[in-house]
Amino acid sequence: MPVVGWILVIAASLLILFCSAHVMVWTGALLAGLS
Amino acid sequence: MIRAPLSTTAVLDEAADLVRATAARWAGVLILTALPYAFLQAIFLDRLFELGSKATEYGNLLRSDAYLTLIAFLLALWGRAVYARACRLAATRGDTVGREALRVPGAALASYIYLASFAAFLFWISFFTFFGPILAVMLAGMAIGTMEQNESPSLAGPFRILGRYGRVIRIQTAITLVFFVAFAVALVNVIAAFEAGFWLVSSIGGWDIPRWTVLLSTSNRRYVLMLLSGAVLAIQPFWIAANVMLVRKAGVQETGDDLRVWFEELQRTP
Repeated sequence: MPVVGWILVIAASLLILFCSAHVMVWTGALLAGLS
Repeated sequence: MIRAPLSTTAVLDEAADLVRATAARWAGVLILTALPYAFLQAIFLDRLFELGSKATEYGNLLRSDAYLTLIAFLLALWGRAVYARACRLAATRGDTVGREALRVPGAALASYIYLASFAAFLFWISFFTFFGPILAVMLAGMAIGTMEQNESPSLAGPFRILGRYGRVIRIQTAITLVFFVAFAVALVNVIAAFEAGFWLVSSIGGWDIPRWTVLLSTSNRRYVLMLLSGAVLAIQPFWIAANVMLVRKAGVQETGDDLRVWFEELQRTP
């Protein structure tokens, strides 16, 4: 069970970080376009 | 170090003591690990403003910058975890902390990275809503405060632990607002430190003064971004210590440990 927990938490963290990078670029591009 | 009942002023007061106890070594680790993240964030924002309305045409370049920034973010999270552990150990012992601060339990670190990544995602996706980023900062604060309570990695566990501290949300909001003001004060201090340093150096000679005057002026966007990053770095040890102390105080009040510590302190008093 702990192994599954480890895999899930690491996978979820990587996925969220990957999505964060994309959202950061979209938000940033929108911000740069507005300023 | 649990001296006063749970309140915003008590948390901030005791957090200042914690920073004093941990400043010698661990605040340095925190700032050193946060520097690459702060610099890369500033470079990312500088590039965005430089590109302006053409930013959408440079997606690959910006995405590679964002990936680098998030790798540096992981290093910064490790630094924050070490510092939070040092704060917690210092609060427990009331003394300075040695190398054991480095031994952050794996499950606690993984759960913290998971929650902090979620907070970062929330920050960027709700950037234009005003309240979203504030909520994300609060979430990141509670994530560092509750980090060591995660004993095994799980997806729901860290959120369940956060939910247990829902009743301190008013104090957490007050602390976050205090830190927004502290950020402004730190920014003024960082600007003054740079100005004073430049003034002192300019009196020595042997420097290309006109060049540095341009580089260290508010018309240089990268310098302004570095000043903002510097202000964030300056308040970060206090922000982490305040969150660790908030969770600790809320926890001991719940279990009655505050009374035990109070009796022990009374017994020790000559």
